[in-house]
Amino acid sequence: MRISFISGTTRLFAASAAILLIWGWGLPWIAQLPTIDKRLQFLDERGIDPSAMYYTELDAMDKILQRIEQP
Amino acid sequence: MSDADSDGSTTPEPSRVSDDWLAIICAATLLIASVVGVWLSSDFNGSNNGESKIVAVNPLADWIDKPAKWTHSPFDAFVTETEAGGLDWSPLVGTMGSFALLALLLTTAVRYQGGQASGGRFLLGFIAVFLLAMLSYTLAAQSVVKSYNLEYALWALMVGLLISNTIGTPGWIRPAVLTEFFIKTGLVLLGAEVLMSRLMALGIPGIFVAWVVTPIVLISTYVFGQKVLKMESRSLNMVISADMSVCGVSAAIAAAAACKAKKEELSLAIGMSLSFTVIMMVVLPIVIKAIGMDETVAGAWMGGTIDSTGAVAAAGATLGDRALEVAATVKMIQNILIGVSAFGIATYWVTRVEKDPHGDRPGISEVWKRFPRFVLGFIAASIIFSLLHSLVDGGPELVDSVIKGSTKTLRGWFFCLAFVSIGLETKFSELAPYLRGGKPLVLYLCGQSLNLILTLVMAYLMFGILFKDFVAP
Repeated sequence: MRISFISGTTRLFAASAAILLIWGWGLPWIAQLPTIDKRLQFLDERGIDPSAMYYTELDAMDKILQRIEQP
Repeated sequence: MSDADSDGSTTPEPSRVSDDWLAIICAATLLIASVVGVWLSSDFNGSNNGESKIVAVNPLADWIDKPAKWTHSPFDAFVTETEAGGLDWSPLVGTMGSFALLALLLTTAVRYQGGQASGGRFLLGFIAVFLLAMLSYTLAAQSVVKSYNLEYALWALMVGLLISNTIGTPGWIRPAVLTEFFIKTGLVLLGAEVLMSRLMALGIPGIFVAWVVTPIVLISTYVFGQKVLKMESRSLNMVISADMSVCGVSAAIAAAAACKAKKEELSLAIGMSLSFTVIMMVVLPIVIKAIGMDETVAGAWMGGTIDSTGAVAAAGATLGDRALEVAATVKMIQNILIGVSAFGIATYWVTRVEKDPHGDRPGISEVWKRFPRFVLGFIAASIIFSLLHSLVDGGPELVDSVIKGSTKTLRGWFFCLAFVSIGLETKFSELAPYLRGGKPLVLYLCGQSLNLILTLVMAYLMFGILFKDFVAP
């Protein structure tokens, strides 16, 4: 029982370290690559959040709806 | 969703009110408070240089937020730098505000349902579940992660699974692991965002692409899963069919709740949907550019086929502004289908799937008894907010302010809490049986192939031939 607990804690620690490394260093490094940076700026300028789950979460919809609803 | 196989017991005392009604009451409280707040704080009779100008203000907006988008440091998710060089603490203040509001509301609700002691136990566990949800949101808010449609649902599941599959979910957290309740409350709040008045945004062609093809694909995929693939779980079959044909994660959540799918089934459907959305978001624009398809037709095709709303916009934007507009609007019309599909699925489930032991169809009273009440709350919220939006003076400003200032963010917190809870309740070994034989994957691939073909035909027919001039650039 004790061994299992330690093993679980170790696994959690290892996974947390991996997350910290990926999000703290890996992704910020990827974000500054010219191609990725260009893509992020492109999406930002258009108010697009590709992770939006519903249309109300998409800033780009405001302009589109304004154009459609008030011709 | 069904939690029958859950190993955590949360409410030992008899409940005064069902989860469905409690979810409706909680969501209604938040919606009414937001509407009243906006109504009292706004000027609906103002004028600006002789022209009527409506200024809608949501007093809750400054107090309800989530971790903001960040690129270089996770701390930027909570404290951002202003253009003037100062510090903006609003994401942190809003996150803490959301916690305070949800903790107060949900603790009161749980205490009412299960007694005084259950409220205290819930609050203690809720602090941990909310912190995990906050962590999930922070992981999802990284710019690169966001740009590839890796939604918070995925990270919330991962964070929960990480805890439950390493050290195990501690007993003191379990009273706050209320997956069904969080999902149902979030869905009723989502109902307020389903505005029927926006259904005709693209006229008849939009309706044909989003509301004719989609149900055909949903039903065909479900029937294919039952008759050809002989899928053992009807609910898994339905959740995959809905999330693939309607609009990804949000449709999967609604369908899973309507057909009482197991939490593992929802996790699997969402995992598949997000994986294929990333692929389609990148590949479809490349294919479209290669064959030189018309931008409007291409937008309609992508809007009708790529699962996730944000991914549709990202893919559309790479083709041009016209494709972005058509794609995002077709997807918005499809988003509205969530309410109808949830109602249809719930009705089908209680009348056809959950027959009595003799195989007889249940009568109307039995159907009413079994019908999930939160679906009615979802539909009612949709109807009320659609009417407010289209019939009341200043309705669009009022509704937009309510949704954008508070309820949209709170709905996101409820879904995030739900996915953390699913992860906390799930062992990896419980997911394995659903992957055996690869039937879910085959179902998704076949359904999506049919979706791609039918939507392309309909998009070309409507936007390329019949209504080419109607849909002016």
